[in-house]
Amino acid sequence: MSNAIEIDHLSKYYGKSRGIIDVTFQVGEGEVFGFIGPNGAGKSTTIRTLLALIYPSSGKATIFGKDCINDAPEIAKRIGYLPSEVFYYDGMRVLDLLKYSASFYKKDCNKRMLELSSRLNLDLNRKIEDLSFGNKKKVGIVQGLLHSPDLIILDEPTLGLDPLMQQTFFELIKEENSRGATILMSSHILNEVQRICGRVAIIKEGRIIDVQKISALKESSVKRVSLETAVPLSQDAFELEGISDLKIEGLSVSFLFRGDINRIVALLASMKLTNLQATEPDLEEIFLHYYSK
Amino acid sequence: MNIYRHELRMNLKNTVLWTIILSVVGGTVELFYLIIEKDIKAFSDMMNNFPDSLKAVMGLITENFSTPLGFYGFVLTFSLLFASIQAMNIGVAIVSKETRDKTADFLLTKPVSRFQIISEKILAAVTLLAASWLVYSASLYFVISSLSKGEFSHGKYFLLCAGYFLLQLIFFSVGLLVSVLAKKIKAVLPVSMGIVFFAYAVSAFAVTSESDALRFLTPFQYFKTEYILRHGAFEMPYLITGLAVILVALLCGYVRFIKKDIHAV
Repeated sequence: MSNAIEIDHLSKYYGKSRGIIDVTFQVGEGEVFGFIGPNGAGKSTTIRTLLALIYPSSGKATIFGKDCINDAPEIAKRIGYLPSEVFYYDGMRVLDLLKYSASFYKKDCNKRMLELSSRLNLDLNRKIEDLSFGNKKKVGIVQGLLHSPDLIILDEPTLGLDPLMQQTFFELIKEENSRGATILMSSHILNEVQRICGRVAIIKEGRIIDVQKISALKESSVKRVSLETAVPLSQDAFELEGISDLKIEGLSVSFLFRGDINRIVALLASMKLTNLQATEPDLEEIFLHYYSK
Repeated sequence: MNIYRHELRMNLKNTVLWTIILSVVGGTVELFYLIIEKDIKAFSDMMNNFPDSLKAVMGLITENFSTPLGFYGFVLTFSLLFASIQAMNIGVAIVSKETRDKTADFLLTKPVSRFQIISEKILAAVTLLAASWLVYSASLYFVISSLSKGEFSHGKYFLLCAGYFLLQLIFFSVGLLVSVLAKKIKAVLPVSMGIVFFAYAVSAFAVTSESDALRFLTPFQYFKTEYILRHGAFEMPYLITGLAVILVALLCGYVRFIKKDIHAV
């Protein structure tokens, strides 16, 4: 499988302050790739560089084998982008905007445009400025998808969409994907990444700290261990490599453990326990776990 | 040319309004000639008693007041001020609007180069300004021509019109440059009015100052009505300066826009 996106040691500084540092990862064609990290970690900076909205300080990125800066207009033919921010031109109706959007692509987008609008219950004759936030967002979705792009880039896509619309939206994205489109989606909400992505890159303070399969991320031997002890124990009793997020409240102890499960069993065997529970942590917890390092 | 058409449509209403107001007000003020015509002697005497500096600032050349075209020179002092604001407004707005309305992300991720985007935008703005200018010039031509019963210097009128448009082009290009250099422009009118009024004030200084150096600093001094009416020509050094300003501002505007980081708002 060839790569739709290749990001190679990409850095961006704003003056002296950091945007992103040495970001490297690849997204294969046909993949649904998640890009997660807290606000301000550099997700948007990375995406905006891919779209040639901002220029990298060093490093490069290619999309479909072409340089994302020099060949930007060429690449853009195959990209559909949904900005996180809602936009509109004064006094324009939904239909006018969609037609304006379609006029940039040298193909007939009319059918797809109407199809998408009706799927999303979008009224084409309303003025965009009169629409609610969620409806404006739908306009964004339709303009991003109406030319059947090969790569769809979504920046915090579900912001402002109600749960029902989110459902429809994710269905649409899945359909685009099964049609063959590659998806890159940034989010700080793990739940939605978990819902549709196959792989995920985790970014923290401008650096990529891991690229993992979602399944691997969930199955990686991270466990949430909760236990109750017969006598109160101090923190020292849990000095073991792999333990993090340790919380001791009286007799209740809780922590995340990552590593060989036998090591933790050996440690616990020496203690007098009254209760023990080991669960799969949700992505949110794994995420926190990464950040706690 | 879809951006060009889009920009024409977006800015049409505004341009029509500016055109109507400029033409109607300009034409109406010119009609005052009918009133002073009868008392031209008394009027001139009164004007002569004004301090020289004030006359200079207001562009009052009493010797010219006796003809409709000469009177138009007086009308122009105000028309030029507002025409400059009109031009600067569109110059500042045409690019900065995209950031303000958060449409920059939309437009700049379409399969079109930034060079083409700014070219089509400039072309659209110049088209609108030119159309507005033509309507204004034709309306005033009609008024002046009827007042002077067809007898006035067409050459001088043409030069006055050309100066009008060149002045607009200068303010347009400077406005464009300012807007791409600025990080974000919250509102257009304060910026354009501020700069135009500043240039107008400098112009008032320039006419009262001994040296001519100051005149290069303000576009309002490049195509002086008084000089055109007297000599039927432009002042070469200022014409060249004006054209250079347009060229440099546009060039810098292009380079900056193409290289600019477009930040999320």
